Amino acid sequence: MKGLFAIMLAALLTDNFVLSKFMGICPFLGVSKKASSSLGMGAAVTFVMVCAAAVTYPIYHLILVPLEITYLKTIAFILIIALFVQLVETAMKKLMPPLYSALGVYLPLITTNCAVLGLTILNIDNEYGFGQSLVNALFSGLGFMMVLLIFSGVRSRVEEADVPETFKGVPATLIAAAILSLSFLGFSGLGN
Amino acid sequence: MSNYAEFTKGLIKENPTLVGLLGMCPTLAVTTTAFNGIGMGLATTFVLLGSNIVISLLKNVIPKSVKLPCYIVIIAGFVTLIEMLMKGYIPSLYKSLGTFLSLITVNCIILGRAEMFASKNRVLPSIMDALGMGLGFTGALTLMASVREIMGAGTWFGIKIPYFQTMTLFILPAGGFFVLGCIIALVNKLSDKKPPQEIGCSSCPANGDCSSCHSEGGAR
Amino acid sequence: MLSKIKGPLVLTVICTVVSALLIIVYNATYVDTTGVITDALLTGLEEIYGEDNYTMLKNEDGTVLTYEGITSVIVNDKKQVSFEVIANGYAKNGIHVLVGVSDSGVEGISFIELGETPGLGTNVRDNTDFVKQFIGVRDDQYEFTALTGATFSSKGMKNAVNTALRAYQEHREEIINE
Repeated sequence: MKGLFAIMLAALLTDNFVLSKFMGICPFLGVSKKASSSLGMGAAVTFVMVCAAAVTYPIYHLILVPLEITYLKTIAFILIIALFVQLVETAMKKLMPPLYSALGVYLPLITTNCAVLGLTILNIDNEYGFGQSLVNALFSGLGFMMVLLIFSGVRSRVEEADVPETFKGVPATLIAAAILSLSFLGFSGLGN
Repeated sequence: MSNYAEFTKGLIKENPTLVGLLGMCPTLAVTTTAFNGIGMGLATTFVLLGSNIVISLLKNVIPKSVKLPCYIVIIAGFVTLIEMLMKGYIPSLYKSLGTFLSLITVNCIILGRAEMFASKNRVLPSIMDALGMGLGFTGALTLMASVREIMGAGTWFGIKIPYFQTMTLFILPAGGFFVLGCIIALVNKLSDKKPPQEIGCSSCPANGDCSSCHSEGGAR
Repeated sequence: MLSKIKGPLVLTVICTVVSALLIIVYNATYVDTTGVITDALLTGLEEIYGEDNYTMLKNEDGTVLTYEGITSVIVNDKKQVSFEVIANGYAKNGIHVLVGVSDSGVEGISFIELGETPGLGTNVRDNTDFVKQFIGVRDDQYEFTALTGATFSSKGMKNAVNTALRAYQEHREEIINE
């Protein structure tokens, strides 16, 4: 069993969701244009990740495992995430309007964000306990937010830069992402 | 549009990966060998075909308020099915695709086609659409995986290419971003188009529900 | 009223139908492979020892004989022993190998499944010199060179081999006299 600190480091740096696991690329490329939207999306993803990890753990271990239908986990998890996102959206709108106006627009995008489903499945595959799952969720979300923030800074520079005509737009963004990913490679081996 | 045109549009003109910029996660993650690329592509095609058929059959039954969860459940069902089949028949591929096999569920291509095409069209055009889009995706994945495997590991479909100096970079995650960026740029050059400037809200299947995105400029 | 419950109702029906179908398919196609020498295992065994009759050792109550870190123990008619080991590489449980062990040390290693990064971690299988350094070793005191770019996979392989060696040393009599 891995220690909590090792899980934390891995989630944040070495096995970063965006740059080494390639999960959540769509929001990474789509939302990372401004620092403010990066922060909002990152916070929303972190929140949903932690809640999803907290909800799916008991469902997997108390319902799917005893019934021996663990192979239905993909269906169960995605349904939970979809319903949960809907629930959070409704609740937030009613109870916390300021928070809703900040994060609300990102919530519908999260259902189909593979980082959230990926996280819940990885928690099960790695046989993490409840506490470990939560820590992994929290720091994976923070890692996601961090990369989005860093990348929004990189992007504002790339937009200004004089790149060849065919590379303008998405190709240049992808190449900038490659360089960022390369720099995160420096963390590999940490915490193992 | 004729059924034939529904089929061919996905192959090149509206290629989901290279032109539509959908399904980026598997495109980057599993394309380390050509075999993985083609396996992932065909698995996605299978799920897309199945879900397009079922959703187009059920299009009048599913109420608008719950259509997204319904689509997701149907898609997840087919994903679980292909997972079982692959585990039984091609265990090595099952192992190397890992989590990304389950993550076909949230591949935007599938939900996007369900939402934009299958829910509005009859079965036969939906089948053609699924096959075209699926094979277009498979083609893009195989192309990208071939480049990465040849440059990074010096092999192609596991066959060694003699006297080839490899660059490990291409196998690493960074190489994925790099190769994809270059391929998209190349496609733009060849098709003489301006490269896509943004990955916009149109790629997001929840687009319909999220009109606020546009005003807020969140995902644009 | 009807329109209000129609949505959840349809969703419930679809969920139930999809799950039911999957459960049926799963039960119809599920084959229990524990305790059976599958084709993949047999190919691996023949790579190490050549063609022979192989049997997987069982406990008295019919369950598969396992040791710490060892998934199964397989012997052939000539009493040559191999251990099926699943170890962590870069990926969790990424290394699934058969290690043939005799009194003169490691006889051979064959790969059943390798979930490691293609082109990097998979070099532990594809670089023949890497596997060769394990052949003939008897205990965990040996010179070992990890592959560049495949540190975790190399370590995982070393762990797998050491696990097999340890099991052989500790349970030799038990296995041979079975």
